Amino acid sequence: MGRDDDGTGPPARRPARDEVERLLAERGEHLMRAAIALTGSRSDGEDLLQAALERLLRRWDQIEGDAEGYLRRILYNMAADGWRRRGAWLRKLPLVHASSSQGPGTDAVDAVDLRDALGRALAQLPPRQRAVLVLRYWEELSQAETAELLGCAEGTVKSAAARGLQRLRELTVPWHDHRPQLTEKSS
Amino acid sequence: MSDTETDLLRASIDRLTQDGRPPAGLAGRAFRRHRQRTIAVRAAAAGTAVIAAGVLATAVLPGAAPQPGQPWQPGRPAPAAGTARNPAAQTPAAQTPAALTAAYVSGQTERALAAAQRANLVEEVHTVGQNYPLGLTQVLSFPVDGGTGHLVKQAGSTAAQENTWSYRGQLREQGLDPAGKPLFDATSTTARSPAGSRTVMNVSGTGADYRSRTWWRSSLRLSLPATGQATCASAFLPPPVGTTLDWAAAIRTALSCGHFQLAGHEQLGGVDAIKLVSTKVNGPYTATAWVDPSTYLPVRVTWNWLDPRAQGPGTLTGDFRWVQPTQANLGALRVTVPDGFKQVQAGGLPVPGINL
Repeated sequence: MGRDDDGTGPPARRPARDEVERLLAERGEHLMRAAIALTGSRSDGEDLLQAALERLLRRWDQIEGDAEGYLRRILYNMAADGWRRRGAWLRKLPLVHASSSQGPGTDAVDAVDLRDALGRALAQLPPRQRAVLVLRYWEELSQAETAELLGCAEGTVKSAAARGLQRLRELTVPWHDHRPQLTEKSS
Repeated sequence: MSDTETDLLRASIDRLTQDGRPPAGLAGRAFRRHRQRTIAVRAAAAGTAVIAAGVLATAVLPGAAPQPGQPWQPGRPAPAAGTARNPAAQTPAAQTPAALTAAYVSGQTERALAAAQRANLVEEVHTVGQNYPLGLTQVLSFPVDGGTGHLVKQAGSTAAQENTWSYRGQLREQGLDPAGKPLFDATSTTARSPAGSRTVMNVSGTGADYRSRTWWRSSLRLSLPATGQATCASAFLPPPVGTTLDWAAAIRTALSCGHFQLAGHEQLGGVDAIKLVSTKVNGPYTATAWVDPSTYLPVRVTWNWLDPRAQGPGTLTGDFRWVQPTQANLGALRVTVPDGFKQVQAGGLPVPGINL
């Protein structure tokens, strides 16, 4: 059983609590943002990050070196595997359709709308596609790095990214058709 | 996807995650859950499964799972079949006992409110104000910087308590004296439409004042700057009064931003309600919400504050319920002007809860 801050177990490394709190203080914002991107809402992101921290603590004795790397791997793999809030994504589908049906307008507000629409559309993708897109285009990892973190083949990452991007285009058609305007306005 | 599109995707994720600070105490909660699990596993391994269950039970607040047949809000008429059981609360996660966290309850409530909105349920609120006069609102417009500015002020009779009904842009606000006699009664229908960088808000309605025995028709057209998506920095639980705001959306935003912490359970009209206390102070205001564990819809919201102009701490207490949009329930959105009331015609007459 993993050692925690009750003093049991051999003193192989700094106490878990100290290290986790230091990790959250230094990298908590980035990890929380990743969790929100992966789940679509702050409350679900908070739950995901907490669940990932619990899993990290269970494996604490097996961890060597950088705890953040382990935590990120756990976080993304829990999200990619669907986690327990899978159903929450499906329930958000009507919201995106409602927004999309209004179509684009003609002023700078649309650029904001498109970013919102893309954020919501991202929430509709299957968990693995979503995790791949967040890693590739937000974390800016390469295909190889993404595949290594998710424990899958590069080809799997490539196809998941392609399918995810195609789905995003389909979900944002009303804006996509007006991309030249939006590109100009968003710059 | 082109570079522009991937840039937009990155910007959209940045926007989605803009308030990414982890909540205070996250590590502590993870450690507590880890320790509880560790104790339970050790106990189970020692053949003391019963003790383990007891230990785990300490992490499970009673009422986490929906109780079949539990009334939606005892003490008030039960809603029509289908209303009490919110579909969003019927997920596998809600049906099994779960260790409650503020994030879990907030998430469930956020989804329950969204589901209620999708189901077009009628929202009913009974609000009681202490040191807070409840009343209709009046919009005063004036020229400013080549455009038009608007000022909202309270107008007409005020009341100590009121009932409000909201349904898809329709709002009825009925003010009552302490004995329950009507003081004012008004409806409005609000339609918002985008117009470039602005939003046009058309409000029309009918109102009646029982003290002056008058009634009126109101019509307003306001052009307002479009507001962006609410951010967590500005999100706060709105006051539980009649408002043209999308109240359910506003409370959902406040909950999703994690501005609440659990404060146990309290009995409210026979419901073992989950109490959520705001961890964010908005000026002089603090807010508390009670959530029905079987539906995760709010049953009560209070606003507390100390207004230096008032004689003491003020409180607004709103009791909520959501009912099916049946003909009978939709009928509650209409105002009947009593016989003998005189119609008055003037600009800027009061309408329910304008909130710009």
